[in-house]
Amino acid sequence: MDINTAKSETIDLIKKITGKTNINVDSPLIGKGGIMDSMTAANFINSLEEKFKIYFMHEDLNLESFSNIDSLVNLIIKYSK
Amino acid sequence: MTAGNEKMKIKCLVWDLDDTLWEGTLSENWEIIFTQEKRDLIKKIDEVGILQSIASRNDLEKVLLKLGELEISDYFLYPQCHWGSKVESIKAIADKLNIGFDTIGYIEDNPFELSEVQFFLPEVRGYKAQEYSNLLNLEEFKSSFITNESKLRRKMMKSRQEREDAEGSYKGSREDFLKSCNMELTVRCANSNDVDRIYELAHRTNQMNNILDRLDRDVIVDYVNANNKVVLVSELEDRFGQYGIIGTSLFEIKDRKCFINLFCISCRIEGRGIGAAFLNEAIDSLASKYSNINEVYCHYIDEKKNRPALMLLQVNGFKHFSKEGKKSTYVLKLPMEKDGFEWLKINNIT
Repeated sequence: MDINTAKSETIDLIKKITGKTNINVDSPLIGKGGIMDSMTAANFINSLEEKFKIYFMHEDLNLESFSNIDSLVNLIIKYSK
Repeated sequence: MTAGNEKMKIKCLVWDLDDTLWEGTLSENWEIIFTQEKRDLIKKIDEVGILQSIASRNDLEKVLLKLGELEISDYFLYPQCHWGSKVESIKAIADKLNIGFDTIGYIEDNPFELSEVQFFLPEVRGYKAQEYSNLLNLEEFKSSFITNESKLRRKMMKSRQEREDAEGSYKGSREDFLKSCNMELTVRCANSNDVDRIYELAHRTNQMNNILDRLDRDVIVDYVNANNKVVLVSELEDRFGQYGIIGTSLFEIKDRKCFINLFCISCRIEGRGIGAAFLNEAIDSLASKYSNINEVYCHYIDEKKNRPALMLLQVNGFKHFSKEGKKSTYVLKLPMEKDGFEWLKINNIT
């Protein structure tokens, strides 16, 4: 899977889950200034797994992976290999 | 610690209508027969804190009119009345109430529809219509005790529905809306009067529960009374109503370390940052009271359904420390960053 496709699909999923139309790709996804609370983030993760046919190890679901969209997409690519 | 494996209790009973809740078919005859026995049963189910809903192939407007005429509308949350599949109806109800399929009971006279639901949603407990009089004798419908929160459960869900409707029609930002709700969170030490509610939370919560350990009541009593253990609870109210105790956390203090042995928060109050506020405030309280604590440890058992609990640890600054199979330990170094929750008034009376 190429990184641009993964990024575009991830952004679409964030918009769908959060209902937000404008997503700042540099914004943290969770935590301080994050666009999702813990419940929304958990639903988003489940949706990512379904979409990309992957299963995250819980120790990878952390603030670093969710610090912005690029870090999350890198994690998705890592799991997709 | 654990009470042993127990089947999940029913949180919501979904009724079919025609020849189940009442005798007759509403679309063919307005004068259906609704017995006093069924009326009493709905009331008793409500009193023990079990929510009720409807999945019926019927016209929604007619159903609402009939329920109003029978003076039983208030008992049913998010009724699903359309000509589509009952499976979709039950999925919608589970989504609206934010509960698992394994906590839903479905009562239906049509064996095909009952089988269809159980085929596609095998966790849903199915009951034939004629079994209605025995429902409250079944283990999955029983509670050891009824707390104030369980008696008010339906009313709290109605308050939540009103809040959601208000949010949907609010014109300003989400933060402005949250501020307009006048939410007030009180964090305090638990006492012996809270044990039943703490037990209920430990047994009923899944999503916001770090270890899904169904504690024995004796264990909770020990925590409340022990010198090196602290139990905190949080109570919530807003302009839509009072929610009672919505979260609890059980702490143990050993040397310079604090261990969160359980935290659980009702999912009925999700989406408002309440869980994060409670955990943040609770840890801050302990750090003030036990100034020699420099680390807080919290176990997490990965069961996928409790991933919100994992994300809650993350947003509160916990880092992964160790792992053994499905069980991980997370650690927070103190002092922690105290977050601001501008839309929430926090009363800390620990």
